[in-house]
Amino acid sequence: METFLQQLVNGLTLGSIYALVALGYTMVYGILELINFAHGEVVMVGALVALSVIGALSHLGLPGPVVLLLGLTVAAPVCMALGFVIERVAYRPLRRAPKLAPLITAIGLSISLQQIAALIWGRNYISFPAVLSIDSYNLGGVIITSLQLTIMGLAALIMAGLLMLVQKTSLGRAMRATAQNPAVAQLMGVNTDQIISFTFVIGSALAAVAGVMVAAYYSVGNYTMGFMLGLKAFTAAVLGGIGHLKGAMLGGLLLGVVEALAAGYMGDFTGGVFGSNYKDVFAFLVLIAVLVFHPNGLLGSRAREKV
Amino acid sequence: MSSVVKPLLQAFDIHKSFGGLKALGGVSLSLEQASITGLIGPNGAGKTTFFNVLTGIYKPDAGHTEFRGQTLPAGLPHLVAARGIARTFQNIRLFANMTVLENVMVGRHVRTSAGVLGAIFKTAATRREEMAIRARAHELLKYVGIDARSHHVAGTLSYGDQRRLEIARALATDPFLLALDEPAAGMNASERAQLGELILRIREDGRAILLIEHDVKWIMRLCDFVTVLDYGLCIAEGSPLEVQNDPRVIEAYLGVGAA
Amino acid sequence: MKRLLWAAAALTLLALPLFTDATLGHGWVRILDFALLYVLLALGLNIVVGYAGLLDLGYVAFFAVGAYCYALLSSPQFNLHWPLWVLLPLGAMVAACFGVLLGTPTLRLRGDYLAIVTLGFGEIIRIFLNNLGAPVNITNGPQGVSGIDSLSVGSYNLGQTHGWGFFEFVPVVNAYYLFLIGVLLAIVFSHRLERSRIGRAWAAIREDEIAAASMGINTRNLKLLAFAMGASMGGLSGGLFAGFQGFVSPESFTLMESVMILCMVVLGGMGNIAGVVLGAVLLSVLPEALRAAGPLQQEWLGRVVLDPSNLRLLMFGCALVLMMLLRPEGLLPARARQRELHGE
Repeated sequence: METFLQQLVNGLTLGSIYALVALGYTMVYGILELINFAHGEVVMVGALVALSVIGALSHLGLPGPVVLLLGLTVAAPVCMALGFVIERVAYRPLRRAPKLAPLITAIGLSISLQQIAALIWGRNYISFPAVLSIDSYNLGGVIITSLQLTIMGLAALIMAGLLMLVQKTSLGRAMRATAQNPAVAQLMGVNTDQIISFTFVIGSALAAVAGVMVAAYYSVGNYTMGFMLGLKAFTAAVLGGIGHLKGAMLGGLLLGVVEALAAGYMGDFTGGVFGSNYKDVFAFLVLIAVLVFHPNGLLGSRAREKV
Repeated sequence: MSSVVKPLLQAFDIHKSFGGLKALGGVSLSLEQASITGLIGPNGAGKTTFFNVLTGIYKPDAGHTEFRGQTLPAGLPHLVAARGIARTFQNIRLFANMTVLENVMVGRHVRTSAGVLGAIFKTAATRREEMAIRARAHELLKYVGIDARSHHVAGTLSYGDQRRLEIARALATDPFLLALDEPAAGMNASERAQLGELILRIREDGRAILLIEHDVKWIMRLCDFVTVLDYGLCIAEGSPLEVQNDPRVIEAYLGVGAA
Repeated sequence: MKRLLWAAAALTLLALPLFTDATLGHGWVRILDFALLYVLLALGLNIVVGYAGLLDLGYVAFFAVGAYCYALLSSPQFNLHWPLWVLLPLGAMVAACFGVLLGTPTLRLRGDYLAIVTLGFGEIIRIFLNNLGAPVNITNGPQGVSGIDSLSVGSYNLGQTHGWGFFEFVPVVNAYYLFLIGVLLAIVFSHRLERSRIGRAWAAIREDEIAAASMGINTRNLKLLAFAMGASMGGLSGGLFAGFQGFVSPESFTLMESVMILCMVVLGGMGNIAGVVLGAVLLSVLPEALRAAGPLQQEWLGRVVLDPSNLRLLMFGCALVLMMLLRPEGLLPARARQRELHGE
């Protein structure tokens, strides 16, 4: 039971991060029906930028949270700009092209961003400077750290904010209209190009936050970190029902928990044949299972193809 | 043989809903051998849905169809085609980037058998079959009158020729029943007349035809039988004359009280 | 005239490794060998992506299956030493089975979903190869399998140098000829498939799946067939790779490889054999030239500013983006594909 609760806490922390990244996938997909393959790289850039800033500030003796916040303040605009450029350069010219084309540009961008990051930051892991003093609380055998609490709390706050933005503001209404039917939205006076750019920028800001969280949580980062994270977040988005905001949040949390539990128990269940080193396989199996058996995800719905 | 000819196709109580929307609420109809049957009805009556169920694109919620004495497989379009029902689409679905000839050659797929090994080793049988496919495709293009365009890209044909090509492609599957979904849509009077002649010729070759159409005048002249759908139900069937005078049909088309 | 051109091309292909060996050395013949393996892989993926229109991002998995199949049955790992003529077809067949295995659950998925699932499948295979070293040692884990028997046809060991009169056939040259046979076979097979009833059916599925099914095409079986055919070429290539290298490890089968093969197909021209071959040759030979970028920087700038291997991948990425923006149909496009990707 203690293992279970412990893995639940770990899973929820990880899941909050997945959810933030998954929101980026789901918002873009909702509007463009496009898998923004490069989104994971935006997270990576966010993490590495933040790591550099934090590294540079770590000697000044500022309080940990302030340094972290400063890192984020630099990383977020960088990522937002990156998201904006990605959409402009790689996706907008191909909006009317067959599906294959933007997917391939996305892969190309993803590789390019990784390599640019490798050229800037090198191939080695960059470790997170010890600026944070992390407290641990022991709740009946389950250990929860202040960092975990911060990640979960901040993620919850951001997600609530996003929901407010999408559901309560006129900008959000324009986003929803564009997602439902871009042509009609445009006729109704919505500047859909602007809305699409805005969606990328928001998604990238969330990615930056997630990047900083990952870097702080795992205490390391390098140029390849975005790939697996991106895939898992995409899995989470599909799990929840792609194009569906609450779905992405639910999917993220669920995937995090499932993965943590799998990592914790797989070895016991299979008599040591499959250990936690298979946990990545697990995420993919979830993805395949969802796509095959319930392609609309937990909360999503999709129109059938017109004949 | 008894003197009563069994119908070519009998649909029994076909139901189909999408979410809460009932598209077909128990349609039954039968088609005679080598006849032309018109399927008419107001917009949203369920005509295209019935086509899609019949040709296996949708699986019906209930009901079944018998075709040439056997139950048709539900929801498996390629098997339906193999049994001898071929169709065209309301919003023309050609293989737009292939040539006209290739489109018709694809239609021969179901009546030919060359496999991977035959293709790779170019066996004598495969070569013979390939020549036969090509010859038959040209024959069909002549039949519908567009053989001169056989090497054009399908998507570049005029609208009327695309309709003809779709019919040629469907005929390439050697169907007993040809189902045409609004084949005359967007055509002018003379094109319509030509299409009517083509349809009559296809019937003379012993094939039955089921067609959806909005031009009631045209359909009354062309068809042997007419079936009227309204709100997913079959409200009348019979000869064009009978149907024309059926009060329910007049009501469905003109609204309550018009009869 | 035409016959003369063919004869000249054949002669060039035959003389190429000997000439390269004499002028540029073994290293460049090795590069040619790898180029041929990539051509084989690209031709296989072309069947899946170019002909049937199924975007497969985990294609390297089949390469891995073929390679490990060869490696495990022809090395000290299990002390098995099966002959080449059994192993290569077996590898191709096992890979084809994996192709069907992957294809079956994913058939209903649309383009981009299929891409992600195949990508996941590729990663799953790699993770398994990485971890099946314990508790029962099957793949030897991340260390990989070494000491694989060299390729040999009958008693002719391709891994040794043979002198034939004036010419000297070193291992890399021997391998070139074996790989060339494989590539030529793959080209003939692809060409014939493309122009067959099967190829037409694939094209029809690619263009409009519903219309294809309504014309009596069993879309499920034909898609599986495309997966199986593509996978078998990948498996064959993997077997050749294992025998040639004498060593395989999971590191050779990353997502990057899948992406690279996809690039070859896309850059060259999906669906067109000549284009795919061109793409594979260009992308496997050109990056080698970039290796010179390191020493050049050393000479001119006094230090290596841009790591050549990063530079290589960066150029890949940029090439993919630019290609899709400027010439989405590839360098040598297939007729129909050009219309699909450029026609508006």
